[in-house]
Amino acid sequence: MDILVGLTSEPIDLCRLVDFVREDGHGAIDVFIGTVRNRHKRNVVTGITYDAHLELAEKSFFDICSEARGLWEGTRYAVFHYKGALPVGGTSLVIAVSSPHRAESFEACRYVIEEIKKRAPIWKQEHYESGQSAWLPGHSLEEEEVCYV
Amino acid sequence: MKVTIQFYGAFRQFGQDLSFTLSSPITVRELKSLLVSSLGAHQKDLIESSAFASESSIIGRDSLIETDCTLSILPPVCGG
Repeated sequence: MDILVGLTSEPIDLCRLVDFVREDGHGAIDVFIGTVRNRHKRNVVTGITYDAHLELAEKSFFDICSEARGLWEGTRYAVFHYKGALPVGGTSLVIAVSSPHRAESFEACRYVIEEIKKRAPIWKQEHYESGQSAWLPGHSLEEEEVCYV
Repeated sequence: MKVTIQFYGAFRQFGQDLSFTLSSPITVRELKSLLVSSLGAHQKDLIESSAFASESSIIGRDSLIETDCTLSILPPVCGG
């Protein structure tokens, strides 16, 4: 199996994901780590709570990695996303991709994160220094209506 | 029939879920209108931009719901 995906309410084990994609014939491992930053627009952020539809999110990760594997042959993937509350600096997402040469792992890793942002049923509630919180806007999963003229 | 909608993201402010008891089949499009009536007109844009899903996949606006079921309403996503 070349794909490992999941969601967790425990700290994401970076070494486990890197070790999963490691392979003797691969000379490159690219890792993306998403973290909670302390600002969003003009607001001072103190933390983020992540909500997720666990089954559909995991399925979306697997589908995205499968697509990437089709585009970049021979690559291996490990993707884990956190579900729950994180403080500033907390790790929300880890994507590890390996490939024989570096170009493919850079490109495939970028593909995976960009698709996760558009397709994975995961939501962020930001918490601010003011004490207020807000659910962030995002990409609609609703199918676009086709109009024939 | 009973249709239960599980809430995610911004819908969590309304609780875990909401159930409707219906006397006839209903499309997802019609279910959205029902939800607007229940949650308030100020939620219309959020509801319209959200997708409905079964346990395994997203279902389209014209999908017909004919039996007891539990669906999820998925607001616009922003993971990562």
